[in-house]
Amino acid sequence: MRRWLWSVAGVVGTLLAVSVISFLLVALLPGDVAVLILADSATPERVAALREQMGLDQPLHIRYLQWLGNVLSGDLGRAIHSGEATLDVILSRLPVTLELILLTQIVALGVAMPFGIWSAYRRGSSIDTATLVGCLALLSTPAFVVGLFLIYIFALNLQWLPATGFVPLHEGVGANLQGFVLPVVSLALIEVPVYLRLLRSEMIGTLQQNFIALARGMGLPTWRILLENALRPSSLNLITVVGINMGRLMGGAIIIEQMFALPGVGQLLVQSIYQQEYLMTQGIVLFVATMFIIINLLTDLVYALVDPRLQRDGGH
Amino acid sequence: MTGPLLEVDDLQTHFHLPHGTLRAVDGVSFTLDAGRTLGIVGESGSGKSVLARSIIGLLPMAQARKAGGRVLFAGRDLRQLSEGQMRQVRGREIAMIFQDPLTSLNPVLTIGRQIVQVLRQHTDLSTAAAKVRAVELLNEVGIPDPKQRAGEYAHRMSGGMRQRIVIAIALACNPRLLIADEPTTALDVTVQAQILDLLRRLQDRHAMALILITHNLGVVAEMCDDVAVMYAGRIVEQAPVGDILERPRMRYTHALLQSVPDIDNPSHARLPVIPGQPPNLISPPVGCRFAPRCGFRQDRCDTDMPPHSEAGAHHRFACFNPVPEH
Amino acid sequence: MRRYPLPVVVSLAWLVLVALATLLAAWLPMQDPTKQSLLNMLAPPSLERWFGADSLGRDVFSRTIHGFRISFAVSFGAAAVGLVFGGALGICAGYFRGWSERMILIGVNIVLAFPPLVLIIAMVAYPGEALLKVVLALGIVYIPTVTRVARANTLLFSEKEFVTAARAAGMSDARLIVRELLPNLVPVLLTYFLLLVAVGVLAEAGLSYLGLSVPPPVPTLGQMMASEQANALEAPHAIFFPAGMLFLTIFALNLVGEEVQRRIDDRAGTA
Repeated sequence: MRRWLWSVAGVVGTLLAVSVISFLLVALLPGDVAVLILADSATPERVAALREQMGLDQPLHIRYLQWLGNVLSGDLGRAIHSGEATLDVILSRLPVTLELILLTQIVALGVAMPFGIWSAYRRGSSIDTATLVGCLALLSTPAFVVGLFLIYIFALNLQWLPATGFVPLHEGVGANLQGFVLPVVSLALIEVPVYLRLLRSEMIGTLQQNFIALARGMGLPTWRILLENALRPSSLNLITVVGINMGRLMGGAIIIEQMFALPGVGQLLVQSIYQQEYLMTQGIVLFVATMFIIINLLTDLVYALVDPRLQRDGGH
Repeated sequence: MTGPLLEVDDLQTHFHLPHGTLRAVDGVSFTLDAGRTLGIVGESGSGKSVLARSIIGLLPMAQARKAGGRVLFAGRDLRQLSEGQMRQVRGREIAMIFQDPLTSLNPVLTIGRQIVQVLRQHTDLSTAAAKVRAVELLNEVGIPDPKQRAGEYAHRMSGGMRQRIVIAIALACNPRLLIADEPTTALDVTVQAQILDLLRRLQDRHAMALILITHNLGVVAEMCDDVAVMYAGRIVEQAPVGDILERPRMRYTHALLQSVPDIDNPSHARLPVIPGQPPNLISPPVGCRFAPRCGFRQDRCDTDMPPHSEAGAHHRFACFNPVPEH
Repeated sequence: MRRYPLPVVVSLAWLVLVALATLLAAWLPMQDPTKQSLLNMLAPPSLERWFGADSLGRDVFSRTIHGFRISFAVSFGAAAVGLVFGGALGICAGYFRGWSERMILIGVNIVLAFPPLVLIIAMVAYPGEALLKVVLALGIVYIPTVTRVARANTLLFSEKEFVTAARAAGMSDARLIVRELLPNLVPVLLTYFLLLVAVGVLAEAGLSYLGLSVPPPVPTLGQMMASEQANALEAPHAIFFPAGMLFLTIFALNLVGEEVQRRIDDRAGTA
């Protein structure tokens, strides 16, 4: 029980530290912060008004606390040009990014698992070697290059799939998924080698264990042994990595979102940087980092629930 | 049924390694009748575990080669069966348990599930019926509160209890032969006795033959009807247990018996050990393989392989200069 | 001396070739990478222009080689920053323990709490000189992992008996660290160096695709691909030759890295 409390305290502490850094992202801009934020719409009156609103004449720690108070009540600032509340914009974009992340994991696992299991079972065979070489090749290319390649073949040449263009879910599931095929495959192919090699190495270790020998000795067929006996103990570490990856993809999908014009959080971040919307950038960074921390926490929880060895007698 | 349950005839299993062929089992023959217990004794590296796995066909696929010989189980040559046919034999007719109970059970499946999956594989019991049977089996091997235990995981259980569960899994489909590879070596002495006792009772109740692989002569004395002594991939002496213990002929067997501490000896007496190491099985010595370490070596022991001689009913040994009869 | 497997030899040869080409780029008889030519817009590959020309008539081969200069400058620079600072922090944490270790670990965890690309992009958003920004941003993101590795290895080392004996005999910490610890850490950090360089080249490509690396007219690999994306159908050579070079170079780096790792593991196994 006490361990749990310490972990929660750790998470809260990390969130606070993240908030400090996010705050400093704008506070440490060289020059007159108000002028920079307003950029082309800067007029003396507006600058003065913004300075007062942000409390820029006050000492740093007061500003931080004021800012933190705003954040905790849901105010992440506003976009200068459009005037929209940052949090609203982020939340409207979030579903797209989440859909991208989820589909990517499903596809990546769908490819990595069968190949990983088979490579472990047939270790050293030519299929195994080919798989490992394929993994190394996929690790040697950035996702956007894979994306460019896929666009060239499937969108431009064969014209099977659209290159860009996002269709929201409520306008048609088919069209929506079609727009996701190329970006999801691009991202997934980059994740596959990580998952595959991890699963393969864990499976190889598991298959050498005595309980697998016992299962074989009792005449259980290969598929039963691989899928029901060997897969589960080998997947525990995979769960952790998938969880961390999902969190990381909140930031990592940026380039793919930009390339395929998917209106997600990553593309929003890039846009806000191009437009020098510093307040919005700050808000997005804080939001994404928070989601990352929360997802990691949830992953740890899921892992603890799934591994029977970590369950205590009687529960807490 | 007439005839022996298991007849092993000149069995050979070789491993093709980069630096040579390792002849782990190099011409082993013995028979085992239904309901009897055969002990296979030898040092580490003598090939006894490989022998056990060769019988049941559980060799790591990559390097092992079935190099020769026959394994006749109830008249069928197991070496000739396809993998699919062999899988029908494993678990249902022949079962095997291993040395380390702590790693013999799947850590993420419940105990009950591990028994049920074997039952579902070899019988046509429904899942519900199999669960009931699993609890019965756990009860039979002496697990207290079996219904509760069936839903639990292995990691909270002691070594002795895990080995009982392993036995329950092995016996689930009433095999006619159980091969036990060092089943008590990893357990405490008191628990060892309990497990051996359990094995004996189950054997009687199910009319099961038992092959007990061990390096512990005390276990042999207690459990076995017949004993085969293995050295460097071959059987060097084979006899009923009484004969082996009291009238060993082959020098290696004799040396093994000598090296067991005797409680009646004075405590400062030196323990006789067999000098040297077992031979390299990639290029074993020509002639008797024990000769380099034998205190009674003669010239022909280095050049010729000693043939099997008889020393009474069911007692065979391979030695040019055996322990004299008295 | 053991023979090296063929793929590793080929990879090393390729890497040496690319390295030489980038180092000597200024003196090689190549076209000017920034020289536009309306005549040759989107020209396909030919004997004069090995990789063809892009939409502004610039020679793609020359631009690729020059783009690699930036890629390597960024990745080597960032790897150096990561190794030097990460290594120092890790050694501090692992050797001196106590309060400094706790602080360093907390710092590491805080940096790791951000998704890496987000952090880099946010840091690059500041006004400042592009190359320096990218090197620092990437280097900062590298520091936590290097710190952890350096700390783990330092801990392993410090537990050895001769360390206690040396300290008891009055050997100063500085001498111990420099004379004994560092030589042990170097092989581990060397493999990490290769990994960081490979990751750095990939990261720089992504950043330059977004336009967040060194700005034009300096050619960068990602930016080249981004600007030619519109003409992909008519002139795939402008995208896929640079992409292919990128892939081959990183693949070679990975192959060599794995071989180095294998040799280190072998030595550790037999030690």
